[in-house]
Parts: sequence; structure tokens; C-alpha cells
Amino acid sequence: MNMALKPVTTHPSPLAPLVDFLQRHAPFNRMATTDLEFLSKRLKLGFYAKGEAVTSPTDGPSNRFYIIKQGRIRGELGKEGPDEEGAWELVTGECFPIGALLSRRPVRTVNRAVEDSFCYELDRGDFDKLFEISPVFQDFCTRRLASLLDSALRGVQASSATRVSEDSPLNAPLRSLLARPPITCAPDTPLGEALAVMDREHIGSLVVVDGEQRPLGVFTLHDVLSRVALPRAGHDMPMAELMTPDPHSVPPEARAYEAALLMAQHGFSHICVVEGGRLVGVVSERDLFSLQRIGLVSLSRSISRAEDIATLKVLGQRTHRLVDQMLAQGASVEQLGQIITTLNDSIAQRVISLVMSDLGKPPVNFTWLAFGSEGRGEQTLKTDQDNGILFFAPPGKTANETRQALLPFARRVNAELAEVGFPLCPGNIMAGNPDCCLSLDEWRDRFDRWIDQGTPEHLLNASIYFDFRPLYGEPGSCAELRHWVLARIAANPRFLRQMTENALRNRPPLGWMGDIVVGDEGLDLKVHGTTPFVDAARLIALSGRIGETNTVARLKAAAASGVVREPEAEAWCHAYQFLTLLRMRNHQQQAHEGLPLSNFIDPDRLDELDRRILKEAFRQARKLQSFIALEYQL
Amino acid sequence: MNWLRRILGRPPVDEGLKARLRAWRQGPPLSLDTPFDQASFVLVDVESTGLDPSRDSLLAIGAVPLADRHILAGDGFEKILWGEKSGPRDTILIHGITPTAVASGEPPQQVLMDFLEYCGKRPLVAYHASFDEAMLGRALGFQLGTALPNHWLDLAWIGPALFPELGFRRKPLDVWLDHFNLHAYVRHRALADCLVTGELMLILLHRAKKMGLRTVGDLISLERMEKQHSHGGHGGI
Repeated sequence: MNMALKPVTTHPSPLAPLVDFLQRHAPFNRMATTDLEFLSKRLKLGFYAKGEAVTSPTDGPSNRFYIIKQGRIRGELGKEGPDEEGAWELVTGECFPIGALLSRRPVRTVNRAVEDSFCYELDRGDFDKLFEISPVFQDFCTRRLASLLDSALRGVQASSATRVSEDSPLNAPLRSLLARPPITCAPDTPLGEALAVMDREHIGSLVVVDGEQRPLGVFTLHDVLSRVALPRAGHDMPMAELMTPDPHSVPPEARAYEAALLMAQHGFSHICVVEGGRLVGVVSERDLFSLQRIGLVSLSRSISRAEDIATLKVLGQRTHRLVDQMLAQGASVEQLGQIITTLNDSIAQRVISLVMSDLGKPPVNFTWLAFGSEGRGEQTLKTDQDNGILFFAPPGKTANETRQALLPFARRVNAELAEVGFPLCPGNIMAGNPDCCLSLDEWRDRFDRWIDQGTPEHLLNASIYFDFRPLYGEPGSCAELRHWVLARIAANPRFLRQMTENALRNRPPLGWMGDIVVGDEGLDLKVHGTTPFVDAARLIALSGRIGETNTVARLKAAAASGVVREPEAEAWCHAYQFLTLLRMRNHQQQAHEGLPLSNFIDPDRLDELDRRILKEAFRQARKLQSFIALEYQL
Repeated sequence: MNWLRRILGRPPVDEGLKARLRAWRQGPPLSLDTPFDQASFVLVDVESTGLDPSRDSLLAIGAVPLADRHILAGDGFEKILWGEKSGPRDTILIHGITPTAVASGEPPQQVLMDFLEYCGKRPLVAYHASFDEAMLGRALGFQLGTALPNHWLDLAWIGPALFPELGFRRKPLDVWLDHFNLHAYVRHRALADCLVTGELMLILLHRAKKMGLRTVGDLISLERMEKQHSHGGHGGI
């Protein structure tokens, strides 16, 4: 018997190769069989040689939908031409250009084959039909277009036993992703036995190790086809002759996105995680799917190694370009937020290190705090500084003496951050301001006053400062401060009510008939769009003793602890993310046209789909406000 | 038993089949001046009980069209011919068509007629086309009393002519697949082989275009020249 060749017992379906391919990729793997068949029957396969443009803005309105079968396609913005750094790449199983097809416009980017590539293609008429008949496909396109949700991530979570936490940061160490001990075999294991193990364990790869657990090679399902079925290898053939020798390995401290990048670069689907020469696990492409495309590894490395402020300034601009490209390709707000936050954090941390090596390390233990949008990890490209310092006065020194020792250092950091591209805060919420450079006791006193008195100014401060997050230095004292704030607020219902009142001041711009009401200047996406969500999420977190600072994380934590219902939290997150996306796209467009960045948009300039989702987002804001009004008794 | 059946005569061709054959013969022929960018081809691969076209019998036909430099992947053709045997055990391991599958196949006349209508007069393409041509020719002659007038393109010749620098002359298909990193869904299954051969053809057409070739006729001439060159240079095959 030859296990590798499954004998055909019925008539083969001519669509089997297509259906099988589609079923390995989202969203097709969730589509109804009849819809999948409809799609399969209409697919054509095209070839694009390395360097060839697949679609281009000059082609006129987009008339084909592409699913990458093999190879890599890179989106290039504008006339800049090929860009080696951080360009946005699509790989096997991914689709484009959904936005252009749905809005019947030309693509915004040139999509170019990075290597010889094959794409399955669907004519626009059939694309429209599929959109009409398949709810799964429609859902996918709508969400993908609005980037309301990272469908890739959802796909992984639904189908993979090795669950990647949705909050897993880009720089999660691989160790945290290793869900099970690696399944291995010896070089002399016969093929038949190896296949049986793979079948029993439901795994796509097997690592061949020696007696010391040192990886010698990898054998994957793909090899079954090419090396077993094809040359008709016997079942007694040893793995040593069938494996791919010298597998690529990474240490468990390596970051998730580094592994993802390595896979994308070399076309591996599995990477061995090796510690001290011994195999400790295997990370597969599926485990990293959501991170697979991130091209920021070199950027973040350059930042942490930058030698001076001038270099950081250049790298800061490259961050903008990376975000620009990701935005153009429809990255999710969650991914963009994580990337901007990760990069901005590393820039700030590097600035602090550089100032310390120049001025000498301050003789005090301190924690650099981020407030406002930076504290929430929700910066867009243009964000002012909002920061402060939490310090411990050394024995024998007063808080004031300590502060005086820290202020020159803090002011220098503020100035260098401004130089790098984070403008100074007009409200002077910066570590170089004596009011923002405080000991733990002083911070408590200051916060206590706000919670106690709750004047409008206090409430405004609370909405900035209470989103604090440690950015540099020892995070323990920061946790202590948060714990104190949460306990203090929970015991003060009056302050919660005042915050609720404050949060309800910005009403979503919906008229009686559910239409969007626009002021003279246009629609302010921040004040009327995202702020109601941010304020409500803060309120829910502070009252529920939730330590998160990010709006989406706060809402999710609230759902997890039962404060709000899960489907509602999810809808609110989507709505908030969509509004953020619109804001970022608006900024991007203004930057391209050389206009000053603002949060105003003209809803009439949005396409039909965006306008529909915008309306829905405002409806969700209204629901969220009714919820907090009810919950905190207004 | 096979030789006996062959001598004892062909199966009768009924009126319905005869009408379909007439209609097929009257289909418009292909002009060799058609640019290959716009032409429509059919990739063909057959599975058989062995490698000798004069003795072994046809088990399955796979085909898929390639038009406007795209494989119409969703429009594939794959049929198993009804028969009494599936050939020796070792070839079953290659093509995966078991005795059960053969027993549940469709009547050969039906499959072949469907295949003719599917192809029309389009040029047929295969790797080592002479084998597929011979197997199909004999089966068509026996079952339907017709020959196959379509042009054939053999990628085993056209490939080396377009990529002489690779030195792949007389190499098996797998060498090409490896080189261009192409993967069959399953090897040695008629339609899957057609699909992956089609991918190779897309690459070859891209190259042909870059080299200034234009029409279907150009490709046919290229193949002829490569054969002559090969015969001359190596004293014939």
C-alpha cells in the first residue's frame, strides 16, 4: 500500500485543485460549498514575471479580482517607484484590490510582482455576483475594505489550536507562541511511520532531530507530494533521505514579526525554535499569519541602534512612509496602531538613551510616562507630545531637590523629541514642566484633587493624564499609581457621574432621521467621531477597575469581565476603528496635497460604502452613550 | 484480450455520435497567424495502463484551456474511461486510478466525443506530446473512427528552444517544474498535470513574447526548428 497516493474511488472533480487551494485561505474556507464552486468555475490563472505590474492606477476602473496563488505582490505608492524599505507585500492566499472593485475606481497603487507570481483572477461581473450571493464573501470584503476587523487574525483564531492572542504585540517573543512540545522523529525513522505520526497528530511538519534534540531537517506535507508521491518512495525509506536538511532556526527570544519576516523572505512555512542548540518548538506560518506581512523589522532595528538625533529624525520619516503604504493597502487599524506605537515608543526610548549618554544618567530612579493618545497607544501620524516623569526621591533628598536634578534632562528630551518630529505640547503637558515631573506622592495628591473636586478643568486633565503608561524606566511604580487611581475612583461615584456628564457632551452627529448632520466646517472625526468612544471606554475602565489604557483593549476587557455584553463591545470596537481609519486616511490625503492636517471631512466626498459605515459607526456611538448614561445614572 | 477485441472489430458508432462528429469536423479551423496572446489552446494529458501506445489502453483524459495567456482553471476536463482493467499494479501507483475507478468510468465513446467537442479545433499542448497524441489517436480511431487533425505543441521542444541557457533539452517535465518552482496539485493525475504544464506554458509564452515571437505559427516553427537542430546536432534521436 502506498499511503501517499490516495486512490481515486469516485469520479475526480475537475475543480478539486482549485477548491482545495481556496479552502486553505480566508475567507474562502468559510464560504458555502455552492459559492465556492461558483467561484472556482470562473477563476483564470495568470502569470506575472518578476517586476511586471499586475494592476496600475492608469488601467482605468479596476475590472479584476486577484487571489495570489504563488509568489509575492508589492503595492507601490505614487511615482516613487520601487522602495526597498517596508513596502507592503501580499503573499499566497491574499486578495486585491477589493476597495477599487467595490467603489468602481482605479487602484491607488501599482501592484507589482516581486518575484515570478501566479494569480487566480475573477472578472468584475463575477466578483459582483459572488459579492451578491455569498454572505461570507460580502462580509469579508466590507470588513476588509473598512478594515473594521483583521479577518486574517480572526481566521487564525477560529481554526488554529495554537491560538495567538489578539492582543499579542508585534514583538511578542516566540516562546510565548509555542503551544505544544515539538513533534520529532529520528533520521532513521521510516517514511511510513513518520506519515502515521503526522496524520495522528494533525501536523503539517515533522522535525528530524538527533539524539541530542538538535534539528537535522524538516519534513513537511508539501514534501510528501514532491518527494514521496512523485518518485514513489517506499515506506521503508528513512527520513534522512527525504527531509530538507539544515533547517532555519531562531532563538525563542526572537520576536514574532522577525520570524514572520524570515518566513516571507525565504518562503518557509515552518521555523524551528532552537535554544542552546536544542529544538524547543516549531512556529508555523499559521501561528504568525496576522504578522506575516509586517516589513518593519529593519526599521525598528535601525531605530534602536541610531547613533544620533539626526538619524532618528530620518527614521521617523520612514515610519511615516511605512504607515502610508500600509494604509494604502488596507491594513487594519489595530495593526497600524500597534506599529505606530511600537515605532514611536522605540524612537522615544532611543531619544532618552541618547540624552542620557550625552548628559549622564540622572542620579534618580525615574519612570518616563506617556499620557493622552500616546498613553493609549492610539497615535496617528501627527501627535503632540504628552509626557511626564514619576520619580522616587533618593534618601536624604526632598522631592523638590530631586525634581530640580531631573528637569534639565527632561527638558532636553522634550526638545530632542520635538526635533525628531513630535511637536511640543501647547498645553505644556511635558516632563520638563515641574507640574509633570512628580514623585509618587505628589502625583497621588494631584490626582486626588481632581477626583475630589471634579471641576471642568480637572475632568479635562483626567481625560489626558489617566491614560498614563510607562514608556521608559521601571514600570512597577507606575502600576502602583494606577492601582491607587482605580481604587480611589471606584470609591467615588460622584466623580464617575461627572465624567459621564463630560463624556456625553460630544453627541454623535446624527439627525432625527438617522442622517449625518454636518456643520459649516465639515465633520470633525475626532471630536464627534472617535472622542465619544475614547471617553466612554475610559469611564468604563476606570469604574470597572480595568488597568488597560487602549480604547479597544478597555472595551474588550470590559466584555471579558462581564461589564458590557460581548457583541456590543465588538461592534463598538469596529466602529471606533473605522472612524480612526477614516481619520488616518484623511490625514494621509491632506499630507499628499500639502495641506495642514485636520480632522474635518466632507461626508459627501466619501464613497457610498464608507458613508454607510460612517452612519453605522455614529449609531454605535449613540448606543454606547445610552449605555453609559444608564449605567452611571444620568 | 485487448488484441482480440481489436481484431474482432470496433464498437459501432451510433447516429447521435455521428451527428456530433460531423458538427465537430465543421468547426472553424485555427489560423496560424493568430497572435498567441489572443489564441486559445488546450492543454492535454492522458493516463494509460502503460507507456506503449500500441498496446496499452487509455484510462483517463485531462484537459484545460489556456486563452489570452490565462489558464481557464475552472473549466477543466477530467474523465475516466470505462474499462475492464486498470493495468498493472505498479502503474496504478503512479496514476492512482484503481480498478474500482475504471469500472465506474464513463463509456469510452462518450468520453472521447466529449473531449473532441471540448477541444474543437484549438491547438493541443502537452509535454512529450507525441505520447498523448499517439494514445488519443489510437483510441479515437478505434472508438469513433476518426483522426485528430488539431495542431500539437510540445513543450518538451519549445521549452529548450526558448530557454537554451538552462540546458534542459531531453529533460523530464519535473526538471522544469523544479527550476521554476511550480507545484502540481497531485502529480500523475491527468488534470493536475495539465494545470501545472499550463503554468510552465505561461512562463514560456512570456519568454516567447520577449523574444519577439508573435503567432501560433511562430511557436510551431520554433518547435520544428528545435527538432531539426537537435537531430542535426546529435545525430538524431
